[in-house]
Amino acid sequence: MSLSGLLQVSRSALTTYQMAIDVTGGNITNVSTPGYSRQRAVIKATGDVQGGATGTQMGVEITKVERFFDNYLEVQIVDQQQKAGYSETESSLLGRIELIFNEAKGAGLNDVMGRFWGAWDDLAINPGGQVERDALVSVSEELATRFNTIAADLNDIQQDTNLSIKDTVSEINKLASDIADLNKTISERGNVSGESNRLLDERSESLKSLSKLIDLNYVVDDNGALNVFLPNGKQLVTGNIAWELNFRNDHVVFGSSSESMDQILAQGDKGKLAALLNVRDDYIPDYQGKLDDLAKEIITQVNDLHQEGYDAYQNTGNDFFVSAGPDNIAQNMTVKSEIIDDVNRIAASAVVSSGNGEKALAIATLKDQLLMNSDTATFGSFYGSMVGEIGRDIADANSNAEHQDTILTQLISHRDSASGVSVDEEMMNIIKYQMGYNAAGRLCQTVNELLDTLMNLVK
Amino acid sequence: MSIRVTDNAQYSSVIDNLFTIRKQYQNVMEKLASQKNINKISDDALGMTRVLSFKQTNQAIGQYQRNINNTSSWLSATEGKLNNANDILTEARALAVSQATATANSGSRKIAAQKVQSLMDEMLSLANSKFGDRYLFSGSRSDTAPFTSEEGVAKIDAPVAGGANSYGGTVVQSGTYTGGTNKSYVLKITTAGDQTQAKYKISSDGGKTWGAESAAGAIDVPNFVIGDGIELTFPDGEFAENDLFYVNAYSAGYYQGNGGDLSVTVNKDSSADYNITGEEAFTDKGGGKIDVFKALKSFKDALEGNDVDGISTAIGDMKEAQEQINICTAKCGSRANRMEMAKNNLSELELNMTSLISATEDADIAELATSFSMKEVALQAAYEVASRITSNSIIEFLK
Repeated sequence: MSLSGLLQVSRSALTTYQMAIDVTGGNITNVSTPGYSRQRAVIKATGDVQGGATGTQMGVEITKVERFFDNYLEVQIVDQQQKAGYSETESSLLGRIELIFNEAKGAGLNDVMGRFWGAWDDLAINPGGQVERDALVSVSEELATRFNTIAADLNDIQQDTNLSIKDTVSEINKLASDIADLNKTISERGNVSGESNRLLDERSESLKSLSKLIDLNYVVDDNGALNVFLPNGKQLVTGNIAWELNFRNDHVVFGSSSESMDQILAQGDKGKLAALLNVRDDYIPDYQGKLDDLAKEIITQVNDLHQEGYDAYQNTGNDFFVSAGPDNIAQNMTVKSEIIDDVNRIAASAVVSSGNGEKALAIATLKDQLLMNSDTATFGSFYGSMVGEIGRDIADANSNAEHQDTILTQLISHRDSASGVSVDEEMMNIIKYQMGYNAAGRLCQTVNELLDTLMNLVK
Repeated sequence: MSIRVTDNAQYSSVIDNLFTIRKQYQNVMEKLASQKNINKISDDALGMTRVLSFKQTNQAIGQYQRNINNTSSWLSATEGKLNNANDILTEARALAVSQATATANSGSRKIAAQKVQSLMDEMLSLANSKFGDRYLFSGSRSDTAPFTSEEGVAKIDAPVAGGANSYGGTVVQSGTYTGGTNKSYVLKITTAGDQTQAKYKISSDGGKTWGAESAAGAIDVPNFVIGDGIELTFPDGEFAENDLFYVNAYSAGYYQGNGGDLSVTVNKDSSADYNITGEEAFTDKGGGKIDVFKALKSFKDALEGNDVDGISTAIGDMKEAQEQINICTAKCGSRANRMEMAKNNLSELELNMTSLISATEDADIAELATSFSMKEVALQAAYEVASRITSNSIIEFLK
């Protein structure tokens, strides 16, 4: 064993502990960096065998900087992110729909409908009364406007959803190309002793952001590249290549293909995109359809009776409500303009020469007839159960969002427990490494003194 | 190895808890402020559906009550008029009894005849009474005065063309009305074209029900019969579909109204008639047995003609007329009773509905207030924890 060898040993200790403190410092500075995985210098003794059996001098070195990362947990988090991304988007979009049906405050369609039928009853009792006729026209216009507004609001949300889909698709493309770029760098550098730890964290963050947006599967291949697949097996990222999704003719398509992927993407209830597609293609059309059914049946039934009746000028065969075209009935519903212009055109009478309110009475009693839902529900109960259904959808989405979020929070706290930085721990490590560094310094000093002594011997 | 609690996890769990508690706090606050359990439809979807249905029922009840109130006043007005009619008939009967005796002479009978004339005028005016804008005794033709002062012969009014007709030519009526009651005949064009092409349908009840479609060209025949002896002639012109012509035809007598009932909804799936037609009260048609005005007229004629037999007949007639009016009064009363009963039922139902709505929708304030203070305590505790989070670290002890 030689004294200079001892100097080597203390040098290795000094560099090692300095490096270890570096790594610890890195951890401390990233204490609140999202997605950061704490790192640890792996310190290993290096045996420097000199002269066979005569003695062993031990040094120390850092073999690699280890990244604390639980792959299994990562898989779960990615999966949970997809579910949480779905339910969060669904709940917030349905929350906007909820505002349209503000029945809880008692000023919704329900109330207007009730007053509408009531106005016909009033007219039936005094069919010649101008006041009753005016009141009926004004409440009928209110009813039509209410239908228009609800339908238009639903339509607006549908349009917004469409724009969101477009934005989400470009966000997905951006993240996919980020992952491909990171794949490239990581495979070039390799990660034998922790050179790419930061890039791995970054890539795993991108993957998590991506998984919030879209239903996906992933696998890390032998070269360390992260490959991302869509639920139908199409590759979104292969090695350093990212494929693009496009939004064409209101459909999500793969690359330059024209085949819509909407259904495939929406199926699994995973990712923001699926929620947007479901709200756009399922929920809203369902609500619109019901609303249109209701408007259509009211228009048809009232018109059928109104056509049989006679107005104050003995005209017959006229409609009360009009709605342009077979689509968007609720949105286009209006009171016939002739009736708005002249309330005497309301056909309240069942016979020629007025004074008779039988038609008005017949229309008023429509409210109690089972005309909706294959003749099993009244207008009112149909609307009531429609509102109930919407309320249930929203409540389900809300509780689902809460549930998924709780699971995600738990998973993230598990991940934090393994990968997160604890300042307490790092402080203790600093103390430990500082101690090692100080001791190594003292060793160096001692060796120096020993060398001095030795030199003095030969003077 | 124990579970590592990292700084990030600690911060995010504090924030998470704060959010959760604040959300609950806000929920309770919203309920307290609105005093309602259901503030959004998703708060209680099933409850919301029930509340909507209760509210529909409540709204309908309000309407039924309004209907009943309107018709109750109509009924009491009718009853009042019928009572007056009864009084007039009593007077007429007393007159008849006194003038039928041997002590009466042509002079006193002449004076009595004058008296009967004024009774007739009074009767006419009360039979033509209005309630609001509508005649009480016109049947469903409530915008027409039901009785004329002179007895009419059977007649057919000039045809009236519908306001939106495209046919611009003339229509002429002819023939003698043979119908027993007053009717409105309606002719509606069902197939457009000129006179040789057009087809039509006829309704004898004012346009409620329709007969079969005519053959093409049937309208081309002059004086073609549309029913009960009413004939129409269309000299020339082009018809469009739904062109409409109607003719009011009156049978002989004083009555100009019809036998139509006025009805009103008093409960779900149940409507009630509320008018007494002039036909049943004052004429011998419909449900009536004796024509009151005719009877008074012949009584007057008998007095003027000093016809003792005629005056004696009048005693019986007046009695019969009184009975007829009394039957109508009784009918009025039973209808009013029905309305009253319906009204009571509705009030009870309304009370039930209101309490059901309240039970589903309204918040329990005591309970809310308690949970509000609980949430407040929880929120304060969460803030307290948040404020302590930085003070507990090893750094504090490494000085």
